[in-house]
Amino acid sequence: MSALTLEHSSVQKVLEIAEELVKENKVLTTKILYNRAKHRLKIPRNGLLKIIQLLIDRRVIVDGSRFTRDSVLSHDIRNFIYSIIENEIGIHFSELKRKVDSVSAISTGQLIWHLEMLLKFDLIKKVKFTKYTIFLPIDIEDQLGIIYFLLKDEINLSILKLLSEKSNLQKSNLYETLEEEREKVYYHIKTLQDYGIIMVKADILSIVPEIENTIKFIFKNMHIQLINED
Amino acid sequence: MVLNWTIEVISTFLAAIIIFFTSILTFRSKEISKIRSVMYLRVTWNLTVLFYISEGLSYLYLDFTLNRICALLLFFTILFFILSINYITKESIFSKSLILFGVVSGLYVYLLFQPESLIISYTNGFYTIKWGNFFGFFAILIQFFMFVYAFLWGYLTWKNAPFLIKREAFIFFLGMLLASVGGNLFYLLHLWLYYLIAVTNLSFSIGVLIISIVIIKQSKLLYILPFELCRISVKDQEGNPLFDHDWSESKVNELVFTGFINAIQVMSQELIKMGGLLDIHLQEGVVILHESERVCVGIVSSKSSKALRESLVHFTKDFEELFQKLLKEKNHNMKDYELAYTLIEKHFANFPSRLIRSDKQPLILTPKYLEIPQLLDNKLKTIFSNKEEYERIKAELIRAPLFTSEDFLDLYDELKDEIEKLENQE
Repeated sequence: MSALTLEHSSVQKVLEIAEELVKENKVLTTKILYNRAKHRLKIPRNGLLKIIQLLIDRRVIVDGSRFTRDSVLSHDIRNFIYSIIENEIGIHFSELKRKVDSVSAISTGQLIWHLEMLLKFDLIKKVKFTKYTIFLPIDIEDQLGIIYFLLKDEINLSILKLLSEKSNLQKSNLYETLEEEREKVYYHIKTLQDYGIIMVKADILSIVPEIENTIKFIFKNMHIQLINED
Repeated sequence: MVLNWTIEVISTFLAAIIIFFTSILTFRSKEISKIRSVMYLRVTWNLTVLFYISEGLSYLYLDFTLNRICALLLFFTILFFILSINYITKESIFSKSLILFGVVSGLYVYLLFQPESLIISYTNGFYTIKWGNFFGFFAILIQFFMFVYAFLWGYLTWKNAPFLIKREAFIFFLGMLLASVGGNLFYLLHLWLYYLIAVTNLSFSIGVLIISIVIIKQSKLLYILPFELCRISVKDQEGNPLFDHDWSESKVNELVFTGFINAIQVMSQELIKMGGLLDIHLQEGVVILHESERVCVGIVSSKSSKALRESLVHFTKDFEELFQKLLKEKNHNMKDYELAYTLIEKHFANFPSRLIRSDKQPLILTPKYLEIPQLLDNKLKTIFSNKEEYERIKAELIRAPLFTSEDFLDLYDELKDEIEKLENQE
């Protein structure tokens, strides 16, 4: 007896019936497919079940149940992307792509598809900040997410760390303390200032009082130890 | 000498004939005759035949010695039945309940050789040998072991059977009910209604016949309980995937599985020297890896299994032989290795597939058999140039909520600048 293949005429006939059911906009289930094929093709039960099994084994027929909030994460790569967004709060698109690629190289299109699915099921959210698109866990506030994002930059981080440790830092001298170019440091100060994280009064820099606790909370989350902390 | 032909004797011989026929059937079946668990079952059936013959003869001649032999054979029959089921469900003949059975059967054998254990009785106009006093009680007790084991095996097999073999599993369970519940119930009732002993014998033997025929017709029933086979993956020595097949959704993460296969290839020579086989036990299951000269084959299963390892070794050997030329040419095209499905049918035919959980579960035809709006199709094709990736996304798209495709295209446009930046970096 020859082995059953997808090219076998009976298999093709069952496949035609499946296509016909889809075209009729009927929900395709094994039961419906079996009943119609049995009625029309008069194939014995075992033979017909073998054909359906072959179609399932060869992935011609696959699970068609709609995605749910839980099942959407059953995709390994999507789950991995989700775990990165959860663990690296404030990650932006390009950085996310690099992180995913380091484990499993996928196309940019596929990454966006998975992000769209995570967005669709309210597992993550996105925030546009300057030229970057930041992806955040759904329960993180946008403002907090942006601070996390800003703190991923080393100069921003150093400025805020210094400001958390010492008060009355002079804007004009900060670049020397940080051992960075003056323009670069000024640019970062302006960004932080524009976003309402720090303020400048008569050349003296300080963290906006309302944000101070948030910054401390983020440092704690990022396991960053401050000198004046116990 | 007048022979004591009674309905009990006739039904006992009839049961022996039915079970002997059953044993021959399992021996002659190409599909199952060489399966180790079936060999254990066949020993059980053969012991049952001997039990029934000695029982029938002991009643026919009203002979105590023959009846004691029959009682001993009952003990061995039940022992082998328990060992068979242990092996079928756990690939090991030992279980904790075996100790309890040992204690009970020890008392049973001791009482069998006590002076008043066997009594010739005259019931309903017929002479028979009754198992009296405590011995009779312990005889019922050891048969209860068989009843519990048989019932649980039948019920759990039916309950856990994938829907494609659910019907066979149900008939199997019915056979088991007939042999265990039917057999034991009528055995108890025959103490009051003597004629029911014939029903007991026939119920048990027909039950055994049904069970065996169903196993011959659907050997997958034997592999429902021991483990759940999830997937097999073949990679060449450079880590390129050559062939994949799934039986059920794996709890072992795809990235973890691939990671193990890749890692194993680093130490391939050492592994080949060790026989090429390696079991990696994870919380979610077991990864069994087999490394050969040209390929690395990995299996994900819920538990480790000797039968699985044997099938894996044979599969790998045949895979290398079948695709020798392609492997030498370092051909990585998965399409050229599709014929490996015949090897799956050859070496893994007994392991049930659980990809579709119920006959009412909604299904879809894979994307190449489905049509989506032309405009969307064209856009997707420009984004996903890899055909397989495109089809995978299309398959997800069909299962996704309404308007996901539109939202996806919007997000793609939104991220355009960042994509360009990424592409320039690459």
